[in-house]
Parts: sequence; structure tokens; C-alpha cells
Amino acid sequence: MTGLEFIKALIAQKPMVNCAVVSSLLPEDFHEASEGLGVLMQLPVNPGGEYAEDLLEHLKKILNLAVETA
Amino acid sequence: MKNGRIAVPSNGKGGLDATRSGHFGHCDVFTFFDIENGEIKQISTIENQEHVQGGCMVPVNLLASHHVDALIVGGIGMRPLMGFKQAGIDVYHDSERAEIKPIVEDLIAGKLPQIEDDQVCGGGGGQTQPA
Repeated sequence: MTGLEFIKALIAQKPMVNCAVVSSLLPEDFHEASEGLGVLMQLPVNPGGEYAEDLLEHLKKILNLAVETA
Repeated sequence: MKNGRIAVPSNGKGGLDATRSGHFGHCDVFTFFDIENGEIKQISTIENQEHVQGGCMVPVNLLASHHVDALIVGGIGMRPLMGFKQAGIDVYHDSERAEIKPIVEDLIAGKLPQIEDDQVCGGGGGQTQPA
């Protein structure tokens, strides 16, 4: 099972779970393959700390938007 | 639908005579139709929130907080569809007509189909494309 296949199975049960995917796909191919699945971010294989910081910032932005709508 | 609140992702200022936005996450406003005894009793609009990658649940929370019962889309991804289902919001589908008035009238009359899980956009299904 690939990461995207796992996410597809996961969000069918728990759509509120936010996910990022470690993938070696080219960005445009990843965008096509993940469309509609609501993936936060594509991460490279062996991502460094800067990716963790970017992911956290992105997650904070989404959670802040969610709070604004509540 | 006899009673309840219908939401339609709309272009511009929204309203009964506006057009439906092809991608609900990127719409300008949501138009709400409050239905009582099968008739439109009130029409209102709310601004959409900023759309960011992976932020599919933001409009789900927005519409759920405004007590929406049904949503009409031209296309939708798998994750937001599952989110709306979990929030108890029925999602109806019409990718052909951009005008809001006839699709709302069809939903009230029970002539609009609910979107199926295999009709979602992109990697989650791949049949229905946003208009």
C-alpha cells in the first residue's frame, strides 16, 4: 500500500485527520495523484528539520482558519 | 427537501440569480436558502474563507457552524465529501448547470441526485471534475 492509498483509506473513515506524505513523485505528478485527498504537504524522502517547520506553520494556518469558522 | 438550509458555492455576491462556483473551496461566497414547507423563505450569503492546500475541512466547519443541511456542488474531492458526510451535510451534484435558481428548485423538488463516493474529483475517485 502506498502512502496515498493509505490516506485514501484513512480519510474515508476519519476525514478530519490532517496528513502529509513522504513521496519521491515529481511535484506535478504528486499534485495530480493526491487531488481531492486534502494532503497538507508533500515531503521528500528523508526530510530535514526545515520541512518539519514548514509543515507545522502550514498546519497552524489551517487550524487558525478552522478556529475562525467555529 | 421540505425544510432545511441549502448552501450553494457562488460567484460574486451570490444570491438566487447568481452562478454556482465550479470549485466550492474557491468560491467567493456561499448562498444559503432557508426552506420551509418546500418553499424558499429566506436567502442570505456568507463570505468563504481563504483556501489553502489541505484546508478541505475549513469550509466543512464553516457550513456546519451555520447549520447547513444540504450542499450543491459541481465537483468535490474525496476528503471534503467525507467531511460533509461526517458533519451530517448531504452533498448533491450538478456539474452541467451554472445557474443557481434551477438547481435549488430541483433539489427542493427532489430531482437532484446526491453525489456518490466514486464521483469525487481527482485521486480519490477521478470521474467528476470541477466545472
